[in-house]
Amino acid sequence: MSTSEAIAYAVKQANVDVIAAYPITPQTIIVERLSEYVHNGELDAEYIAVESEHSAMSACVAASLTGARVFTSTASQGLALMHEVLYLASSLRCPIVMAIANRALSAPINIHCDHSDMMGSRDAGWVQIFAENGQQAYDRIFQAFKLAEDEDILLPVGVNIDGFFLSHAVEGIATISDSEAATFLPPRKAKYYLDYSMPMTFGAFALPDWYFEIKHQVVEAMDRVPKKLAEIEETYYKMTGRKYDHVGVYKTEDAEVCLVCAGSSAATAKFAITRLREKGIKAGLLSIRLFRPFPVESILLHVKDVKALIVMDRAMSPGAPSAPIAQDIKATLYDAGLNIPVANFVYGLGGRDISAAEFESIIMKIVESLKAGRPIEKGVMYWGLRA
Amino acid sequence: MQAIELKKLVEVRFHGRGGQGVVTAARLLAEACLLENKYSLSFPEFGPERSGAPVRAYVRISDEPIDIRSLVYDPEVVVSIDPKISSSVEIIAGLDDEGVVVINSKNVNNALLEALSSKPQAKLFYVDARGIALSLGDVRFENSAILGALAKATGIVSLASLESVLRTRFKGAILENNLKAMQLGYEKVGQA
Repeated sequence: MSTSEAIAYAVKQANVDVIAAYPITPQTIIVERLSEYVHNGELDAEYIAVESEHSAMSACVAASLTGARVFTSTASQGLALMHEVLYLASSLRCPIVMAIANRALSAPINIHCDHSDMMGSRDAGWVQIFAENGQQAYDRIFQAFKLAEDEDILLPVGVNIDGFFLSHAVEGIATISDSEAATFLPPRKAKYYLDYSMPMTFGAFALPDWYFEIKHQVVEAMDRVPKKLAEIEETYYKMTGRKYDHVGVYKTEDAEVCLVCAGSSAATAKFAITRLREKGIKAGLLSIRLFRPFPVESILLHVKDVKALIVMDRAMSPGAPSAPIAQDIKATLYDAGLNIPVANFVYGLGGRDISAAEFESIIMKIVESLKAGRPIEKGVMYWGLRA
Repeated sequence: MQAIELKKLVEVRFHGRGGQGVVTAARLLAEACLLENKYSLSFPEFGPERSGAPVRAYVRISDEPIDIRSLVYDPEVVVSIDPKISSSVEIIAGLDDEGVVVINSKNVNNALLEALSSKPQAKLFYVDARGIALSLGDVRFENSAILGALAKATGIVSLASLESVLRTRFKGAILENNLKAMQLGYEKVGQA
């Protein structure tokens, strides 16, 4: 099945209570399948067909506050339209799970993949996970609900899939049984929720005296995510034999150059690194699978001895000294007292493909600079951009 | 006719136009390979989403899990579903030296043959998929005819696996006609 179909199937197996969504390419298939499941009676959920993504997220927040298990999906302009409500979801501690089929932002209008949409909502207080393939996307949906709904966390979770490269890719995906799903993910038991018989206020006004503390609780919850997600991954591993951790690690043990990447390109980069290793090039890969919270500790385990890092960003940050992932990598290195040069490339905007051969060229460029004793170029480089 | 060797990774590129079932054909091939316990991956490359616009779709087939997710640049197999695109030499860009090309055409395409002359090991196959589809009453059976031809020309998938996948997707007269188109494509494909 396609990644989109696999996500819809996982959401059905997660037995969600409410789906509020608005279709947008390349995410449409996910909500299309879900609306079919609800229509056919295969999924006993409320499907709210709203008139915009702003309403979709608003309905999700309200539904989540009643104690329901809630799912939605969007992309690109849809995520941008949701923007203000995303902050409500995290600050009101709504454990919503959302699939994001990463797509470029207008203008020019473009339906293809890059990570600008999610990066635009980077600081909204959502846990953000990247999938490299359909299997990861399917498995992460269950883990996302379990993480989000944990009373120590209560944060919304985004599961990111590259538009088209993943959303429309068909491959063999191993599924878990409905009973396994039910055991792993029992119905949500909210401690506090909207209830006529037990009136409570959510989303009250906060003045300068308490706003800061309330906001900081999102940070505190975020800090608890790595440990909690690791436990969830372990439980899921015992059930399925599949485990992804917070970073994907490939041949980093003796690597001189390590490439950092997120999403489906990480899988292509892995293929390129296999070929480079056959030629004796000591290259490794770190795939950012958990982006928020940023997996600082996991990254530091693997980069201490490398001579240079290559950070690939599929989003721009105009005017910034680095693109988003490189900003986090540099902060991680700085805090650890590591002065490792970082080559930062922005690539693949608007769906421009990056091939395995291109990854090989990028890595070789840095390997040759190191060999020749040339300094690694600072700032942001734009890979594949026509002059 | 000789089957191409299933190497570690076989890459297939489909050419056609929006509405001709290019994406569906690629998906059916990938699903049929899964039935044969191979690893497979298919995905489309859309331009603007509209009928008639050129569309490409890709399939990767391997005995091992597939990592690479980029578009296909050096295909072992090229398939053209659109008769007009079938006469364009651009479809063989990047073709493997021992690659196979399957086109929707009534006859041998000399321009393609000439273009392929630099790759003496490459093979060109042609099938009148449009004629087959129209004989069954609907041009939309064209992609099934091409898939039948692909199975015969390359051996990367069996006709039986393709038929099984069709049976899970269609029923009634539409299924029967697609099965017939596939069978006819398999029988009638010729090597240039």
